[in-house]
Amino acid sequence: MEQNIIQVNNLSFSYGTQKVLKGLDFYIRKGEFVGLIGSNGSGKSTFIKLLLDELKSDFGEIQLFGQDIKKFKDYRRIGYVAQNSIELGSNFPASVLEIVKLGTYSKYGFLKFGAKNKALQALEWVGMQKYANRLISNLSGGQKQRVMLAKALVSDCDLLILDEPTTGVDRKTSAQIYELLKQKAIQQKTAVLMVTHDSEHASKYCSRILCLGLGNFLELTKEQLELELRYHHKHIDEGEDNGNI
Amino acid sequence: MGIFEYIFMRKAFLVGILIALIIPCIGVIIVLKRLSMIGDALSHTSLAGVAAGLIFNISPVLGAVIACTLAAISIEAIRKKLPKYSEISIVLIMSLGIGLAGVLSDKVKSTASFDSFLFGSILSITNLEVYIISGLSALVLIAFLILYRELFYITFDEKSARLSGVKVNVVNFIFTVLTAVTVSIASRTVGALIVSSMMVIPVACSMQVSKSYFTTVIFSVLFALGFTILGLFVSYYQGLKPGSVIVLIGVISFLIIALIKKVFPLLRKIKVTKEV
Repeated sequence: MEQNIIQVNNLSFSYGTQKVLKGLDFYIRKGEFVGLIGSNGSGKSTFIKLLLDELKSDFGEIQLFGQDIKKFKDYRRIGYVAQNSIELGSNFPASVLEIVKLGTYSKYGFLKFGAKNKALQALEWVGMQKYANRLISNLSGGQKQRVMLAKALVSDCDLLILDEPTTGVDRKTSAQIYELLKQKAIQQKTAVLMVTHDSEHASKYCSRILCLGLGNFLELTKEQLELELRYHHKHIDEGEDNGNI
Repeated sequence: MGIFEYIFMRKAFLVGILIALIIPCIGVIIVLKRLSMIGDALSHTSLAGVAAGLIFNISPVLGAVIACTLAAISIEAIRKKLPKYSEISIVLIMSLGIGLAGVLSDKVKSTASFDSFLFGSILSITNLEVYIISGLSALVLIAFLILYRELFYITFDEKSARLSGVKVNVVNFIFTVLTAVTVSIASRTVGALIVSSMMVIPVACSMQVSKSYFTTVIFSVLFALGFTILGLFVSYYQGLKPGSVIVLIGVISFLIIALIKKVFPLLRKIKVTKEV
């Protein structure tokens, strides 16, 4: 049987005395597109930071590509778009094309030939090709997010970790990004793990949806998610929107 | 007699052009990392190295290089420990540098040599110093070109660069040493009190007009070259301190560019309104 791209067993983490993750189990396989939902502060971004070795767990085991995270070094295989990536481009004098080309860094250094074409292709995927020569600082928040996504896509990684990449992106473009990620997972067998608040698109495009609550994951079936969504929309209609699912 | 008939002026132009090539390369990274004050901290610390060099009878430039390198490594180490308060590390090291420079300068016999480092003395550079400055400038320029994209990546997003496999710690360390070397040799030529201005002003001018990171670097170098060459001419014919004139030309140029950038769109708006 093929090894899981990420395998997490019995993972616990706390900030001081506040327990955030409690005995959490998780896996993602090649070619899967997994959506991660949960309310603000439920620990989604903390989980991502643990996967990227930015935080150390209190207990439990994380394996990336079959290797214990303590020994894992090959982070080039992971493409990552951070939650705060919009802030990165503020006042930075670089063109969109230059930023996306940064994603071509590999163990041989930056691509010497073909980097420009690859970057333009990735920009086309996210609908930003006509902005290639614009300054990143002159783009809107949603446009910057799409540039960061293009930078992650150009890296030819085996695992894409995206922390709310469609924040500030309009619904039509957001749907296009979900479709693109779905195709990336199906055609190139890339594992895609995406933290999102957009349950509607997640239910339509993701192969699995996990809800993080009370420190652990609950796998939701599409029917469960639709029920939740209906309940959520009902509350919005009644003017009781209390945030996302 | 023409300006280039004097050997000291030919040396001044050679060294000035070399400094103008390397300072903006380092300055771009410093400005974009929002560490503009680091130039001040290092140049003040370089004075302590200069004083130590004069006391122990070794080359003051070499003394400045050693002191600056130690200071830059210390700043980087403190910045790593307190990433959210990086300005504290700069102020701490600057205070230490100024304190040491003050104490050591009392022990220096030739105060004229020490004072020449405050405002620079590009016109009185010795042949040995020309060789040292040429060698170090070539080293800084080559290292900057080799690490051009790695430095760009780290400056834009250190976390992503680390994840992509860029050896962030190694590149940051090399850059720290390059900064120290650049500040030391620039202190000798344009002066310790002016180095940080030379690091920041060409980059600030360039950021007003450039449309990419690459053009920001190129324009920064061109601005620095322009300020230096013009500054040397003006200082020669007016009998002024070259370092100070170079910086003043930079500041005036920045103000003119900023003004043009503000006024041009307004003029265009008025023209369009009139046509309508």
